[in-house]
Amino acid sequence: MITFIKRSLSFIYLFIMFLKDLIISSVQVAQVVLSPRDATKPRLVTIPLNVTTDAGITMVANFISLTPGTLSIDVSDDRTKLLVHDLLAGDSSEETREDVRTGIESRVLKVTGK
Amino acid sequence: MIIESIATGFYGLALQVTALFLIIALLAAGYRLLVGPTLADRIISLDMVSMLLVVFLVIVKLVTGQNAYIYVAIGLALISFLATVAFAHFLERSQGDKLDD
Amino acid sequence: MTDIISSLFLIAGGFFCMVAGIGVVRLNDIYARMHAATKAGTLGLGLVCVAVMIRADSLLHMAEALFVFLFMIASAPVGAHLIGRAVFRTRSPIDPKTKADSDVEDFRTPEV
Repeated sequence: MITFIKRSLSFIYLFIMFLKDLIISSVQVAQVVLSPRDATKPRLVTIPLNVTTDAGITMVANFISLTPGTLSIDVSDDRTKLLVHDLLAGDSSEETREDVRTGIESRVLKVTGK
Repeated sequence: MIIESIATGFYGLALQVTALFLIIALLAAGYRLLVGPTLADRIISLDMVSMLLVVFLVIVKLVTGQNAYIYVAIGLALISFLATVAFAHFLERSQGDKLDD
Repeated sequence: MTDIISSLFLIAGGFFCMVAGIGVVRLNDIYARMHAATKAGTLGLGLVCVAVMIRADSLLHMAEALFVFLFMIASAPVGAHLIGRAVFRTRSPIDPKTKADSDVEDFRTPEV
């Protein structure tokens, strides 16, 4: 029962943070689109996944698509990696990986439990 | 016309500005739908057009107060999602066949 | 007061829809266009739905506007993911200045 309440609370937290991320990412897209010169620095980034459950992977992939800069493209066959298109990553993919690991993934892990 | 007759002042102005924004977005999506170099471009602009239609319907609900419009919006959102999924499947299948030949 | 707040949400929603439209035309390749259409489009619809919720006269009508938004949140990224996967696997043209990690090619092997 207590785990259920904890998970529900972390789901609500996940949702609120997600709404914040959605606003930030849309503002970012607006800046890129409305800037007079070509501001995109696209990069295909692979992200190793810590979540193992189906629900967890689904949530991570869906929330990644609506958070700043990233859009999920593909999940590897063995479900250990996620392919992501980053609009503003430039030369390094470490930053994107770090953002996903500390941001969305840790929040999803709190909801799914493993 | 219908907007002018129902709302005035700042709210009416906001409705007109929003309608203008949406018309620009619709023209942009229509341009990509016609020109788009690949099939995928056309699919996402079709998706975009149906999403704009959902927004229009929600606004029409706001203007007319007819609550039925929001059910139309929900139905349209459902159908457009199914259409996108079907198109994506079709894209993957058809181009894959071409690569095999 | 309700009028003004809901008007601001309406204008913001319309603005983000316009950003999505302009992005679909201006950006270079299909992936970048999907960024614009998915994110800005979803937020645009969300803000318009909030405007409707503010002016709703009963809880039921408020919930219906919320449903439209929630459904869009659930469906837009799924559609974008599926199209992105199809585009990636069929090797559609991509912006030449896109850089890539070394193990990206692993993803192209089709699952049998």
